This record gives sequence, structure tokens and C-alpha cells, in this order.
Amino acid sequence: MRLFLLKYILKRILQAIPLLFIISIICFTLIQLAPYDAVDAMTTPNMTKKTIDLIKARYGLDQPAYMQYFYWIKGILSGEWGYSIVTHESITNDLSVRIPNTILLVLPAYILALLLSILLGLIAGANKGKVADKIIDGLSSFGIAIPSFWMAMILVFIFGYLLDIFPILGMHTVGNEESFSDLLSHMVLPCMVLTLSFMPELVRYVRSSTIGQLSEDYVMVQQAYGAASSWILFKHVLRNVLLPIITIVGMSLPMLVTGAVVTETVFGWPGIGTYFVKAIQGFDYPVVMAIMLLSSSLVIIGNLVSDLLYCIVDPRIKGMGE
Amino acid sequence: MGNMVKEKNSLLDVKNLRTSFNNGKAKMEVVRGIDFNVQKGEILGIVGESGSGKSVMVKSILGIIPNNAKVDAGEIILDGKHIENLSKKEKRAIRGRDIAMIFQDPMTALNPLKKAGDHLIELLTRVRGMSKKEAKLEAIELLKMVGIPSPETRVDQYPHEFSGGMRQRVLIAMALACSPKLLIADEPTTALDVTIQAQILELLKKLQKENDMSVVFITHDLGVVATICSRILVMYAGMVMEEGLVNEIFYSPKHPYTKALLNSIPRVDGEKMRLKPIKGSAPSLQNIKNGCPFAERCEFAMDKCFKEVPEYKRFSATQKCMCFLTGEGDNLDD
Repeated sequence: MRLFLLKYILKRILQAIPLLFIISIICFTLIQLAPYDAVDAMTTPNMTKKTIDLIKARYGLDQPAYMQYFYWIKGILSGEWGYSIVTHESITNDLSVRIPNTILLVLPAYILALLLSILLGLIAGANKGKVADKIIDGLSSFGIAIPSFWMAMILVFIFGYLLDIFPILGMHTVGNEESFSDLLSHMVLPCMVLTLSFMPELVRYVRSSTIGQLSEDYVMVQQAYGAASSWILFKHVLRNVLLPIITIVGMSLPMLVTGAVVTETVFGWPGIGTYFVKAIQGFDYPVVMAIMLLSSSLVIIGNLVSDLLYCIVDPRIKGMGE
Repeated sequence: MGNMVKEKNSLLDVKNLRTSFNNGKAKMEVVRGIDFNVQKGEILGIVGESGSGKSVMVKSILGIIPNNAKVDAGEIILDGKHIENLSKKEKRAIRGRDIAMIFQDPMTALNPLKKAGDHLIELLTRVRGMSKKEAKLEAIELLKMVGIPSPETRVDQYPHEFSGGMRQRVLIAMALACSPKLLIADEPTTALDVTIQAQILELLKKLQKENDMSVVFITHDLGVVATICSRILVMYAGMVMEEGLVNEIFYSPKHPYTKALLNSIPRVDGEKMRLKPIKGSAPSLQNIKNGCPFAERCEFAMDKCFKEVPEYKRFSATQKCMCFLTGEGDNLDD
């Protein structure tokens, strides 16, 4: 059985590789189709054609598209993601600074949202139609309808202006970059916005999953054998509810990069979100391309991870090879 | 046989049980005043079409009806004690311990993420207060008792590794785990194929004798009833149409519905004749009309049948029937 599991994991990983290549080709093609020449960012109007050709040759832009793709993919694979045509900074360096900043914001917010959602979803699902459910489900619908920038504004107004307890901009107070507590207080508002914007859909998912599980026969059987409803909920239903959540969590992996674009922009958080928005505004194609490739690859990897987790957690899939 | 029905031998007495569903707008009476008793050590069959209220009735007794259902009235006396007004907690203590139940679809009755053995172990530790270790040994014993081969490995397997018949055996093992006085079997063989059906019936019969339990066996299969039951209750639209010993029901049925049911079973012996299905379908309980619930489909229906519900008439100490046509001691065929 172990062998089967290993084979399956290997097979899934091998299947993911061509997919990643296809994604890279699509990303590259889209950029090639754009009405903009990458060399323009490096030239000035008074350069001679000869100089431009030299620059082109230097960056490999005189090569045919497939060769350029080849160089690009070679660079990506060796960790060299190219240069921003606006700032001329190395994208690899930029990303390695900004991704951790985004993760610092998204990860705690997502984990908190997940835990709260499981709790609230279970409560709502187990009390379907009662007051608790109506409140939780109603607030979730409300939450889905609220755009996160609006929620961010409201929170900024309340906590940053009226109560004046949390900073509303950036990651650090200037001159106080080493202080951890300063970082934490800067994290509170954006994390709160993210948690609140992640939660409604998760709550609804857990709620409907709980309702579905509670109508399963095995729940009735447990009732018929005198199990208390809290026992049934936590010892039987919970596991069955959590299983499909693995998929949701896996699918959320790209959020580590692109999950907070709006929120980061509102709070001026130096993460991928602000970087991405700036790149789009400045037609900074190599950066857009890099982030596009990164987040779409994370979709594939997220899928892969959740499939593999399923395979480990669900006895029905685990036993398939027997 | 007539002296079988004695109050002191009675394990379960149900009087005037009424259960209804309420979907917010309309109230739907599904169980409409049912009286019956279960004797110690007997297998009572409850027969009826789908939707006749059999399952809801036994679930009402156990207190596991859905949230939108309500027991409106009735007395339930288990072993001399009233249980209809017990608190939720007290009622829970009865389930599994005094009354156990097995269900129609063994494929969905076990939690797919829990080992078959864990279902038993949970129950044994909760109800019989065993330690986990003891419970596991007992679980293996129980699996052996219900005829599952190599129970030592089976105990650690997940439900999807069992066939339908084997899962039903696991559920029967769960039912026996706490040696209940009463086992309710709600169509336990309906979802199984015929050879497995016969095995499960044999097993139930054997276990009933060995453990001296009473069994309420719900089915819509008269053939199954004939194999294992000693007495039969014929239900229609939430009411008991006729009640009697197996011989009485099969050889001298009184109610037109019982007769119609018997006529619709194919026979392999005797003369060949066309099957006579009962015309129409079971009535919707949403708008109950006055009168006998079977009147609309009954060949012998009279004006009176549509106006009032007939009283029960007794034919023997064990047989009674609810029909205007039959007088006490009469036989419709004569």
C-alpha cells in the first residue's frame, strides 16, 4: 500500500510538470502579444539604432521568440527572473523581499479565518434554522457583499482615527524598524480586514458541509445508539466536514502571493500586492509576467498538495491500491 | 397460540402513538394513533408500503425523529416503565442499551472515516464502560459472533473495505454490543441481494434465540415476514389495518388491504394466476380525508368507508382488523 501511495504521489508530480510548462508558455505568449517592445524601457529616443541593437543583443531580444522563451525559462529555472523595465531592479530580489511581507500578512489572517470559520460554520450548521444560524449565516451573506477596500476604510476610520489605537500605513514606524511590537501593531488592521474578507465564504462552506453531513445516515445511527449530539458533532461529523476543506485550503495557496492585493494597497503594505499594482500601472511586463507565472503555478501546486493530502488523510483513497 | 398475548409477557406497549411532520406551513400526520405491543422473545413483523409510517413510528419510539417531526400523543411503556416523557438524556440512555436499531442501508450507516471496529469500541466504552483494550477484544468477539471471517483484521478496517452484507453484520454487531432487550430492524435486508438477505435473516433469527431478545422487524416484503416473524402488524397510511399471528394473516386475512397485499405476491406453487397489483398508490398524508385510509383503493369500499374510520374488530385473541365489512368472526370470502 505504501508503494502504491508513493507511485501515486510521483505520478501526480510528474503530471504537474507539463502543466507548469504550458502555463509558462501561455504567460510568455501573452507578453509577446502585448503592443510593447521590452527594449523600450532600456532605450532613450536619442540612441542610435546601433546602440539599440547592441542592447537588444545583450538582453537576447534580437533572437526569435522561441529562443527568447528558452532563455526566459532557463532564467526562471535558475532563479533569475529578469529585471523590471521601470526600476531596473532584479525581480528576484524584489520578490524575495516582498513575498515574505505578504505571507506575514496573509498566513496569520488565513489561519485565523479558517479556525473561526470552522467553529462558526459548525455552530451554524448544527443549529440550522435557529437564531445562532440565522445570525452567522446572515453576517456571512453580508460579509460576502462587502468589498474589502470599503471594510478597510471603515476599520481605518474606527481604529486608526476615532480610537487612534493602531497605525494605518506601512509595516514599520520610521526609525523603529527592528521593533517586533511595532510590526505587530501595524499588522492588526490589515490582518483584521483579510480575516474578515476570507471568512464569509469559508463559514458558508463549513455550514453547508455540516448540514449535509448531519443528514447522513451514520449520524442517525449514532443517535440511535445513544451518542450525545456534541459527541456526534465533534467525533463523527467534524472529520467528515474537515476533509473537503483540504481542497479549499490547497486552492488558497496562491493567496499567499495575490491574496491581499487590495488590502496591501489600502494600507501601503510593502508586499506583492502593491508591487503588482505598481507594475501594472507602469506597464512593467517582466514583473507582471513573473507574478502571473508565480500565482498560476501556485494554483497547480496547491491542487497537487491538496490531492496528496487527501491521499494521506482519506482512508477510502488510501486504500485504492489494494 | 391465543394465550401468547399476556400483559406480563409484554416488553413494549405502545398506545395511541401519533407523530406528525410540520414543514412550517402544513402539519402532516404520519403516524395516526397506533396501538401495539411486543412480547418478550418474539419477532414482530411490521408490514406496509413505502410511506406508510413504519419507520417514523419506530423512530418515534426511540426518539430519533427529525427536527421537523413531533410526537403529538401516545404512551410508550418499555418493560413496565413509561418512557414517553423522559428527558432527552434519559431517553438517550435507553438507546443502544435497552433498544437497539439496525437500518435499511448498511452502505451509509457507518461513518466512512472511522474503522468498523471503532464504531463498536466507542459504543462499548460509552455504554458498557469498558476500557479501550477490553472493548477491542469484545469488538472482535462480536464480529466473530455475527459471522465476519478473520475478525482480528476486520476490526481495523474501514467501512469501504466491507461488502454490503458484511457492513450489515457490523451494524448487527453494534446492535448486539449492549445486549438490548429489543432490537428494531428497519428493512435490514432491503438493500442487500437475495442470497445475502437469506444469510442476514438466518443470522438475526439465530441471534434472537441465543440472546432471548424481542425483535421488531419492519419490511415491505411479505416473504421475509413469513420466514422470520411470529406476529404481523399490517400498516397503511399511519394506521394499523390488521394485526395477527403469521398463520392468521397468511391463511385467513380479514382486511381487504391485507388480502390485496397477499394477492400481489408472486407464487411459485399451486395454480398459475395473474398477479393482482393494488390499484393506485399510497395516499398523500398532506390532506387526509375522513374515513378509512384505504377506501379509495379498496374494491369493496362503501359510502360509509369514506365518512368514518372503522372500529377494530377482534377475530381471536391475537387477530384484529379495522374494516366495516368484516363482522366479528366473519370471513370476507364466505
